[in-house]
Amino acid sequence: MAKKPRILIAKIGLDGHDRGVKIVARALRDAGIEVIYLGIHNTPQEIVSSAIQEDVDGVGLSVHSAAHMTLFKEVTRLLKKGKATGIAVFGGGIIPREDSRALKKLGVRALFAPGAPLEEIVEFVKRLPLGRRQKAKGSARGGSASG
Amino acid sequence: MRIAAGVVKQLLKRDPKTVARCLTLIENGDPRAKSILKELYPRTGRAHIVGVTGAPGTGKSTLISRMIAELRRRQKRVGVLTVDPTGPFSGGALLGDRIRMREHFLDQGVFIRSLATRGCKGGVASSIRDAACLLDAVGNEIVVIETIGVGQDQVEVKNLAHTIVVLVIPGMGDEIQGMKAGLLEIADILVVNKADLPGAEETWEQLRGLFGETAVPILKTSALENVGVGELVDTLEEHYGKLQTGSDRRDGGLEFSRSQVLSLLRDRLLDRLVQRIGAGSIEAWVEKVAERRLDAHTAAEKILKSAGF
Repeated sequence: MAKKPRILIAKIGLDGHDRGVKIVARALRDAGIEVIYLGIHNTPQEIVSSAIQEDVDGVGLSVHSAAHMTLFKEVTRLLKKGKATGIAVFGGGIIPREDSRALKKLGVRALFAPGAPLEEIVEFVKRLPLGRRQKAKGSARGGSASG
Repeated sequence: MRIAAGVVKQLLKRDPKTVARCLTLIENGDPRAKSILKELYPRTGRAHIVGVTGAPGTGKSTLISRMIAELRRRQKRVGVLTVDPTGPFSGGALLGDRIRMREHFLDQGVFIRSLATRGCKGGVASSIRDAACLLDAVGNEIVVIETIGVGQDQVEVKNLAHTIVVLVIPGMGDEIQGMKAGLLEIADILVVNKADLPGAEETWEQLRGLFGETAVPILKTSALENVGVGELVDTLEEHYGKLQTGSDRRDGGLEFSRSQVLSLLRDRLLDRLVQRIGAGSIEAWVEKVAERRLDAHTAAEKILKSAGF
């Protein structure tokens, strides 16, 4: 059986705006990806613990609560602590451009703004390296599509 | 294929990353998985494997989450393998069972893994047996296998678990539905879940009419209101306890191993056959069948003959 991309998709923090994230989850599903959908109101710990148990290639987080700086920072910190930096973190939501730049410095691979075409997100996920996941050494290169 | 001794050591320490990694190897059919399983096999056979099945939306994941809580209160370590379907066209899957088990995400004594069927037709994933073996070997006292939402005839889980729990909910049909062969027959324990809904009592009565004379316990639970879960876990333990005694244990063990060996044999025979005569040669017969020049039975016979069987 061939390797398949496995991606965890969730909302994080106190934020119930889940229309966008559900559309993304389904688009990834239709692109042949295995999506673990975790719904709303997840804490960073819950996300990271689930990502490790599910051995995913990436974690996509949607944030519309303006707490993106704190939440993404915590997720990347916990992944580092769990020696799981091979899991790519990406996201979307209402994230100002300056913050977006700062988050990429933290190791967030891509941030998709409202209006980002689904194809772009699918393409990004399909290009993620498979199977390196948890042992890959912290290469946090930015530079993928963000809106 | 050699595996690092460190991997087995990490596995036995229940290191979640290593366990997760090995489950991926198993899922992908990686040759390294075979050596790991070979190494671990002597340590398996200690977990109580429970299959939970039922139609889509009967509350399997939510009830399992309640069961985990109860099992944790009883100091049991729990592994969960939860299966959702792979799309027949895209090959993708939306795995949405874990979301119901959030209260256990941070519990070190609970390991949850979502699997996609990846083409397996029986309501589980083809790698599920090996995945359960791994969770058994690393010291989970209970391994719960949650099937996809099944129909009347996806009963593969029967050969995978010691105890089968079949969930039904009120309003899913009359007595005739319950009389049909298939899913309900494989139950060691029948559960009317969503017992908080109207009609639960009638559903329970109907099942009692149908199964009352058998030894199959019929319980009522409400995963939503956390009712009946303690009794369900008691009943699970009772059933497993009975299996541990006398001839049942031997018969059960034999049946379990037989189905495992036969299923592997089937896969490998097909692989060898394809290796021997080439996939192209089979395809040529397939074309003849598609063109109505030959029927499928004869084609299968001819293929076997050409491979020297």
